[in-house]
Amino acid sequence: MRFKYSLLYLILSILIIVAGSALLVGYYLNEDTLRKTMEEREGNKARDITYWVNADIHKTIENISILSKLLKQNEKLVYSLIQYKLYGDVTSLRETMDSLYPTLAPLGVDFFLVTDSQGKVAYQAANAGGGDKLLKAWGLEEAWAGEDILETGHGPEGWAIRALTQLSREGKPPVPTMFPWTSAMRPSV
Amino acid sequence: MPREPHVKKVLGWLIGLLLSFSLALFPAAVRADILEIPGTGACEVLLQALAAAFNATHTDQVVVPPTIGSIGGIRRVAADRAILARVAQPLREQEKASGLQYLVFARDMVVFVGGARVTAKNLTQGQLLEVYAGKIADWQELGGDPGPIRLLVRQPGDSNLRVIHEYLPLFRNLTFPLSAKVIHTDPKMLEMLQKYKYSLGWAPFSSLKSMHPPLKALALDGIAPTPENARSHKYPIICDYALVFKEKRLNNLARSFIDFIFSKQAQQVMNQYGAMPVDKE
Repeated sequence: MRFKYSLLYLILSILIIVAGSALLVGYYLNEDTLRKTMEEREGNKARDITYWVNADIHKTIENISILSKLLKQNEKLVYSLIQYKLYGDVTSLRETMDSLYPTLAPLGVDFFLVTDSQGKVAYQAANAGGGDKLLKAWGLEEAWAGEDILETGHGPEGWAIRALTQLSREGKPPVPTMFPWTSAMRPSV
Repeated sequence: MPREPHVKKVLGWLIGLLLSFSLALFPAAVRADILEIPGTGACEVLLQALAAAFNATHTDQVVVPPTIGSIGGIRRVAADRAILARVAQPLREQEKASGLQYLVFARDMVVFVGGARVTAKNLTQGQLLEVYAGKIADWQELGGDPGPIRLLVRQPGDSNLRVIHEYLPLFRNLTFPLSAKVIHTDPKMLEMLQKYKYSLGWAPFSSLKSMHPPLKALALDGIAPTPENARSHKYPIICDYALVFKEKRLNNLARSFIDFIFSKQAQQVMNQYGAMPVDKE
């Protein structure tokens, strides 16, 4: 059998070219599809994460805003603060805050503390803290001026959302003692 | 004769169809074009004022959406997803090579701004460096009433920070203290300056008027940030605002807006906001 002038060469060449081209086109199409799929998947993942983080932040903000408004009107807390201011006695404040904290903690409140008008921490719930610790959070000056402040900052356990509110009695001049309240964003979010 | 009612019926349908088509096409005939100009937050306030002045006398409308940064605006124009972009930084070589045009329309001062309760009026370059290095932490040390200096800074790559680096080279080597808050857009910076009464940050001068009450700019080395001092180069920190586009993609609305921002009316608007109009090159 002679192959020298056979059409077989031509047919084989054409077949190889067709198969090679199909392989190349298929490879690039698949690579392009894979890239698009990966981009889409990663994009969706990023959007999902953004959505859940945003939802969690908004929920935390809503919670601490409402709770700070409620606590601001808590008579027991206000009178405990007056007692602390007048006599420097933290006992009543400790009792009041420790009794309130178990209700606040499940709502995402990780820190619950009170300072005086110089920023000195009077008491921090569930921490037996306070004493000479000086709070330097942003928004303290604005809160002392009577504004309800919501702010983010770097706390002892990472990034935190804080609500700072001045305690006052309705119809009476504000008690010159501050009530800042910190809620850290949980690292699991 | 029996065909007559049939013809009438067909004619009725035809007229009905024609009427429906005319009604469907009518809104398209009166619909106005909309031109979005995405980009930097630095000239957002100024361009919004210019767009409002333009829109008041045109059926077609120009919209200035919230900031996506100069680079974001340039990318959109490069990808043919926008016709015009607003920027506060010059084009890079590769962007120029891709056929993008850069047209400066205004100059503005980048100013240091104090919060509402800041009583200090002036800062020297030396004081600024010490403040942003975290060595000075109270306004009292700068001649104002006592109060903690709440530092607001921008992320690397911010166009205003780039201009500050140009005029205050020592700023480049600074590491901002951890207590400083990093702000990512110009509108957010203004909001934070208003929120925190003892804050210190920087912002474009033309954007200060948009705040109520307006924010006050601090003098630098005894030179007040006024348009006169900027024109005479006494006040040194100046930023260019420009439009970026592809010449071949400009439509009639984009061309007429470009013509408008170099008009006398637009120059008046820029002057009102304390920006300096630039002649068309």
